[in-house]
Amino acid sequence: MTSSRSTHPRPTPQRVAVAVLMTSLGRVLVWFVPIVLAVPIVLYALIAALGGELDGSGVMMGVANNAPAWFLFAMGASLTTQYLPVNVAHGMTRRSLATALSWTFLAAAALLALVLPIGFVIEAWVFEAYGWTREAGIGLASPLGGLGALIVDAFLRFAAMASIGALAAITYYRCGAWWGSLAALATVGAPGAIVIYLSGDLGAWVAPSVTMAVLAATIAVVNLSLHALVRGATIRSKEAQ
Amino acid sequence: MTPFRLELQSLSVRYGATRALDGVGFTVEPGTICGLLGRNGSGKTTLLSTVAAFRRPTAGRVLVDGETPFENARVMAGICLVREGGDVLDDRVDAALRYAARIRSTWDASLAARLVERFELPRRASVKALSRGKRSALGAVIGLASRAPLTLFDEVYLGMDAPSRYAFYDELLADYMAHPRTIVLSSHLIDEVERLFEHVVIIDHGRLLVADTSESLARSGVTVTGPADAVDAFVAGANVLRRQELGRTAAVTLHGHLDTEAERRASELGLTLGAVGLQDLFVHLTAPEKDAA
Repeated sequence: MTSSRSTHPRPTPQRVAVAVLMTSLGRVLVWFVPIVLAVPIVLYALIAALGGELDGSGVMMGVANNAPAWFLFAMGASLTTQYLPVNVAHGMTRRSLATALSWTFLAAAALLALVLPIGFVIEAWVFEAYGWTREAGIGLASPLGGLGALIVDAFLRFAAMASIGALAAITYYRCGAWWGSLAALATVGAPGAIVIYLSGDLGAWVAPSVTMAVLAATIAVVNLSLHALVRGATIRSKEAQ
Repeated sequence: MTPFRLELQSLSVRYGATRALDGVGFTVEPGTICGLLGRNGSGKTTLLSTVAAFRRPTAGRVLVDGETPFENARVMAGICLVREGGDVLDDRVDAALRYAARIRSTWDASLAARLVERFELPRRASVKALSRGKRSALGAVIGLASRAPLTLFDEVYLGMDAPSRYAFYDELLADYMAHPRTIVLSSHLIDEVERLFEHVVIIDHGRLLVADTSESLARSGVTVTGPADAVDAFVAGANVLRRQELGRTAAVTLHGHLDTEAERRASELGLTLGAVGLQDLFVHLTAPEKDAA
């Protein structure tokens, strides 16, 4: 019996992990993105059908701000606990998974941040079609600056939320329900409050450069904490999972 | 990769106040099949989990190929622990196999394909939809096709029917002969698997009872078969592990060696002497003290 070997160099286990995590995430994204883009359009159609009129981008802005962030929060939590035992059982170190998770969160956040402007472009077409006018400074003209700033801001918020989801999940995985809930004040509460504060109306008081620096620092701290907790995690028994 | 040597030095693991393993120490030489036996809750799974770097020891050391395995990339890449149901990708069967193939440098795709056929695993089915037996079979396929230098099977047969279990034992032995590596197999079904073992470790309540070669263990007891009266007279005062009787014939399992004089006397009485069964020895060693007394 001979081993089947490829003539190409084998990808590192870490690259394989990133590929698998991205594939897993991609399968959900294929459904998630069209739904997120479609929901405001359907709402606008209903409002127009009822004879209503909008002068702002509240629906698309609300969906664009919240849906990808909470989606990545949930996916961050799910991927962490789902892949930790599988990767270790396949002979990979925990730190390689932690690194793969961080890269995956950054890639997914970048992807969704790039999709975000498409929603505003579609919204602009819809508003034009219905003869509605949009407020200045909303949508593509982000309060933070131009299109670039909108994408960077969304990327940082989405990456932060994915990392926070993963941090919350690994804390529950390691500490159980009681201590995990108590620790959620630190793992979810503190960094989550920063992200939500900066993405809400209150964030408008903060200079854009400060907002981005604080978000980047939050991502760094949360990911360092995630790495520390994943690296020492005991793989639980099958019954406990 | 060459087979890994496994060495446990005074290994202890605690879960709060519970001592799951208490100062366990033994060595499994590279390229052997070791049976890990113990009753429910004896610490087998904890031991295998610690060896596979699923957890850290509370005290003592695990050395795999001379190094501690926890977060050791080289050593972990050479260990494959298959727990009941398998820790496999929660996807379709073929995706779970592809994932293992991409990560394991020692993966044998042709062996995996053959085993999938033999265990009649539905390639396109979701792992979640598999029966308990089929999930166990998938774990067995990954464990065998990974060809890891240290392969650990933790009661991997659970849920498998008898033909599947025997197919697993046959495949394990055949592939081990062709590609020797260190294999530790924990099991309750001692009668089924004892033929595989070159080395046997028995633990009970987290403590090591026996760590020896199968050959040496077989010599640690003897079965005496013959006319019931003659057998009873012969074994009077000896440490009897088990007694069976069929008509006027009795078969008694004794713990301990027989000297030359005892063997001569058995021959004179028309008694047949044989090796002790591992299961009898296991039951005797792990029996509660009140029963053993």
